[in-house]
Amino acid sequence: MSANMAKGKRSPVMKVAFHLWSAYRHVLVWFWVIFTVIYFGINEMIMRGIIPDESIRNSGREWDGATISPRIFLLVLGILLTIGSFNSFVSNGITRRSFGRGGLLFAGLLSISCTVLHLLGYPIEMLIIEISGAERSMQYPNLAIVAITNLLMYFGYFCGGWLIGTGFYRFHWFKGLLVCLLAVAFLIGMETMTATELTGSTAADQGIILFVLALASFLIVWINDGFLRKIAVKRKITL
Amino acid sequence: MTITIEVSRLGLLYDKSAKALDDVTFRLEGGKIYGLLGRNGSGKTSLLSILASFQQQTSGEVRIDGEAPYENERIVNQVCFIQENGYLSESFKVRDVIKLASDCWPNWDADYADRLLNQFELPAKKQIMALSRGMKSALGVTIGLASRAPITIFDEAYLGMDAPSRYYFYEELLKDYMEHPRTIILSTHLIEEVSDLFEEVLILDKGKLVLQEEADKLRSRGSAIIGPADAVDQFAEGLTILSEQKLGGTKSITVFGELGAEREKRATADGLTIGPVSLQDLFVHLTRKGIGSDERKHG
Amino acid sequence: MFDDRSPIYQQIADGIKNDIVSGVLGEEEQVMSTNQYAAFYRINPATAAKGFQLLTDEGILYKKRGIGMFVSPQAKGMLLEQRRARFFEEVVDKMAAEAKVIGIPVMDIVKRLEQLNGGEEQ
Repeated sequence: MSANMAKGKRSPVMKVAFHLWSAYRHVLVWFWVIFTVIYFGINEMIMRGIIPDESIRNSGREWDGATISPRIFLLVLGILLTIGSFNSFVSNGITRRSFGRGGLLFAGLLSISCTVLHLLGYPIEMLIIEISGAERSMQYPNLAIVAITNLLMYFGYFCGGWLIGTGFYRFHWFKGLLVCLLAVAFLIGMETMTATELTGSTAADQGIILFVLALASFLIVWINDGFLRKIAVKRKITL
Repeated sequence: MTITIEVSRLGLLYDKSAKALDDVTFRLEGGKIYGLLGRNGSGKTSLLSILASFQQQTSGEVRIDGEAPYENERIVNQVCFIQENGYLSESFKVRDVIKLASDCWPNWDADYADRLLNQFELPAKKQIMALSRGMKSALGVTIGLASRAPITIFDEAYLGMDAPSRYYFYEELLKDYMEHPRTIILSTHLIEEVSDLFEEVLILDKGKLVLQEEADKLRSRGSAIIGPADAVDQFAEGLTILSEQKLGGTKSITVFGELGAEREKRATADGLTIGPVSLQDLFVHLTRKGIGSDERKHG
Repeated sequence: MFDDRSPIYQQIADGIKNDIVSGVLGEEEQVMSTNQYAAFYRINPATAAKGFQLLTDEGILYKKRGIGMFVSPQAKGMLLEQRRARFFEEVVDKMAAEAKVIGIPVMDIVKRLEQLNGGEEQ
């Protein structure tokens, strides 16, 4: 009886988030460890002239831009979410609504983790620069802006992937492809917005940019949730 | 604590025109073992997956404990639907699958699950994709039994298992059902092996409900009559004949319906032999082309 | 297990009756529960319960609340009487009819029966 009560405490949404998190957290950590090592390794080789690349060598700070791979990584995880986990949860008596909300919570956790792990890269970069001599710039960027932007981008990429996966799970290949294009359009839009940020702008502009990023993420999530609610559990996905 | 299932005028279309289910109406009292019989493609799985909220119907209504089950938090975690080789994530390990199930089903019995895993010799660390068909079935069956869900549905769930495992499953199912009464629906076309477990039987054919009847009654309503052709023909007057065969002057027929003491006496006097018809045979005859439609009014 | 024409519960009832007549089940002895019966024969407990219902209706078993089912004191007597009543109709008459069809004189049957009885007495 006590075991039942303990189980009852966690809501279905939390169950979904918890199980997804425990299934993927190792993958996440491994990804970041390997990614960081390779990234700084290659960067250092460029700096020391082992790999010749003048443009990177002159620009100095690189870690700011080290978010493309994590985004793609999250996109892939997102694509796998419905395809890989929807059946398991729904066949275990979880509603689609709870799966959707639990998935969102998981998306949030992933995005926050990736944001934090990315921020941890800055001191590492500083350390490497210090060790290798002080010719390069050593100033931190505005970490708050970096963090919020990255958080929204990670979240957007994961949910974009999730929408793509949901589309292919629910529909035949053609409609699935349309959903996929829609998701990609959103992501391209978000990328464009962040690119304008790099050109330098006022605090108000940045506020607008972040708002648009958040809005785009919300739309992706909203569309995805609408699709999820009506999905029939399938044995095989017909592409 | 048992739960009633009410289905009324249920319909399901697929590909916009083909009817997987057509105007199906029935009521299942809680706490019984039901046998859902039907040929391949008769709509069994469609019906069961609607009960389990795996998909939505096109028309009609389902009420479980008085409520529509689809996306109903209170109902969906009381209906456990196990299919052969069902919905297991291939990359998961056995113990991950069990862990998820144990977290999701409110009445889950962990000790019982362990016992079943042991008995079926399922290695906890193995990945689902590395399991044989029989082992996957055994894992599904383990989840179904240990879930103790008030409505537990096995849709051909044990087909991949070898005979000893299947019989172990039947025994466990019965034992656990008696200790923890609940509604169990077994869908199968291997009727002979499980028919003694049924309290009630439903037969689906081409998306329609052919009959719903107590298993004992159904069994007693089928008889095989063998004897001289003339006598058999005379005897069969007014009875529903499901099948007939002739060998020289001897005729054998399968009839459906109460014979009554009077008729049975006459049969002995006329030199006819009355034999039993198994549920399996009845099922075959009732769902053979064109026959099922005449019998729809019964039950 | 059960493939006779009569329903399973009928067969269970008959089985218990046989046990009472042959003395395997004594008077006032407790009978296995429906659940034990169901588990043993791998049948639905409702089916087993129907067999028991049949027997309580006939007064062969009775229920002690909260304990279980027991053989009535008069059960064996009743069953023996029933069987004796049916003996001639169900066994002797059939035998006689069969003997007639295949041409065995009644005297031969009587002789045989005497022989059997004599053999038993020795």
